[in-house]
Amino acid sequence: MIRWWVGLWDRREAPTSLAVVRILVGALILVDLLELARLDLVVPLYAPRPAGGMAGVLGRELVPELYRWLPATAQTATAAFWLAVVAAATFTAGLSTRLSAVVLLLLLAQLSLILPPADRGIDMLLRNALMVLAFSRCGAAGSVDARLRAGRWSGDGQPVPSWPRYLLVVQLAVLYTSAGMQKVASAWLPPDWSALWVALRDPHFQRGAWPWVDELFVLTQAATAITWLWEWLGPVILLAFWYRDTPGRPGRLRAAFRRYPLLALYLGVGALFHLGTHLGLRLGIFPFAVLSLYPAAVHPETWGALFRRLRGVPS
Amino acid sequence: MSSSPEGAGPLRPWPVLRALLIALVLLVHGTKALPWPDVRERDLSYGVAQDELERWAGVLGGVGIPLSAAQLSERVLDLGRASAAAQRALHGPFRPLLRLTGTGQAWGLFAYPDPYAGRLVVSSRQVQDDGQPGPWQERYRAPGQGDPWLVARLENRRIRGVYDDNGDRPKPGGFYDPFCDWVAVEIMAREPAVVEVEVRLDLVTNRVPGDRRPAVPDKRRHVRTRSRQEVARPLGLRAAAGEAAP
Repeated sequence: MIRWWVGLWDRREAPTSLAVVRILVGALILVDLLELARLDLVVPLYAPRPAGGMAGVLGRELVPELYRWLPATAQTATAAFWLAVVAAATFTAGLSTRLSAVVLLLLLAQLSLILPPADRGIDMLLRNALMVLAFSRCGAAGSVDARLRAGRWSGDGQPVPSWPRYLLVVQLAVLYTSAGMQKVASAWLPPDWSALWVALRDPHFQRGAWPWVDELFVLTQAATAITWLWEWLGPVILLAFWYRDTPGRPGRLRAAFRRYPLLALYLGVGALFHLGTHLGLRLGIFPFAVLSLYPAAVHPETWGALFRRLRGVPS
Repeated sequence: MSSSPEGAGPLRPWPVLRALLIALVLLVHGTKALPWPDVRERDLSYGVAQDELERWAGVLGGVGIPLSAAQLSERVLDLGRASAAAQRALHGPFRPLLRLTGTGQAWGLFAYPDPYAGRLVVSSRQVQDDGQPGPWQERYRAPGQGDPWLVARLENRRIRGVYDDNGDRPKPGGFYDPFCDWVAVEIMAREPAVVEVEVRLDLVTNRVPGDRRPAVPDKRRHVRTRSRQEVARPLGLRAAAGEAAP
């Protein structure tokens, strides 16, 4: 058992999946930050109150390190913000990838401490992903680092540790399962099943005052039930990996996973669910942030084959 | 395929250490993701929480556990205190690292959809020719109605996080007043004729289709008005920073 556990986290594979996740996560953070700059929200969100911000950050028991070590001014907030933008850009491009990831992670964490309600659960998910990616070799392909080291964007072809990809997959499974377990409100349970209808009627989340939502109440009830069930089925992701790893063992469920693309089906439903909620609700970057982790569930060989096909290279 | 070296040769120190560290990370984050019953007194002040207490008291009564909503509330609060203590003991040593990296596992993805939602409404009024304040004009009404520049800012997901959670509270949270200051400054900096800004979070009651109770009109709540004098300092700061762009 110990040998299996140690071996599981000591595997190696091509860096393609991690590189795809890096580019998507980095680009999403970059776009999200630039949107704040475009709307002139940097000082209101991140400066202390005497300097024009909303956060009474200095009177707290635990002042963020940013304002303990540097002057609590709008200039400090702005400098930290733009440094995060630069780190997000270099991380996405894969330039000094690991350093960029660490700098970005620490700066985002500091910014999150300044005005806590402005930091959403999805920001924490992205920081979790950044933390894992910072320890990974996600810059070994599709990056400036790879181009500089190997002379090719695709890198030197050497395998990299698999464990960061596995952790990202575990994160996805934990995200859905824990969200499902927390849905004990009556609105998520029969006979109500009104959760999605209630969300679609919330003025701060609805895309418009759509009176026809009431006509679709039964449909929203069905969608609520499917969402609840689908989140509870989060462990399917881990089960699919386990079964793929132990193909020789017996069992009907294992055989079903071998015969049908159940993981692809689960993730496909997930992608539809996220894109659907994006069309119906104003959830910000949430759907895209979760979807940016999906490529981790795809094996690097599959990504490699896809990229070869896109380039017209025979496999 | 991934190369899988398990089963070959003696265990090397670095892979063993890494496997141990990963086990620790999974333990900490796995237990953080558990649905801890983190309920505090202020959580139960929400209308949706009161509805839930009533319903669950009814459900428990139906299976032979007679409890009033008030008794259930006490039990839930006891459970919340025990949960907080257990988490302090379990996660306490890792808290500095989790804080420094901003990592954790706290999300519910609409765990408690709120039938008593808030609706942010912003109004302003200008000084008239006779020097008196004119009538209130609505500048923003959720969702999406109002001046495009104001809509874009107020509906940004991070700004929404500052005010959204206050709709159903008896009293708004600590960030609500600074938020109202900021809204007033944004409008006044762009429009010198504006002398007063009102921000409020109307209480919206959503009744599911088929609910025969009469519809409830939006109720004005958490009304805050700001005059130029009241926000003179942040307005001055904004002007000094040259941010009063049209």
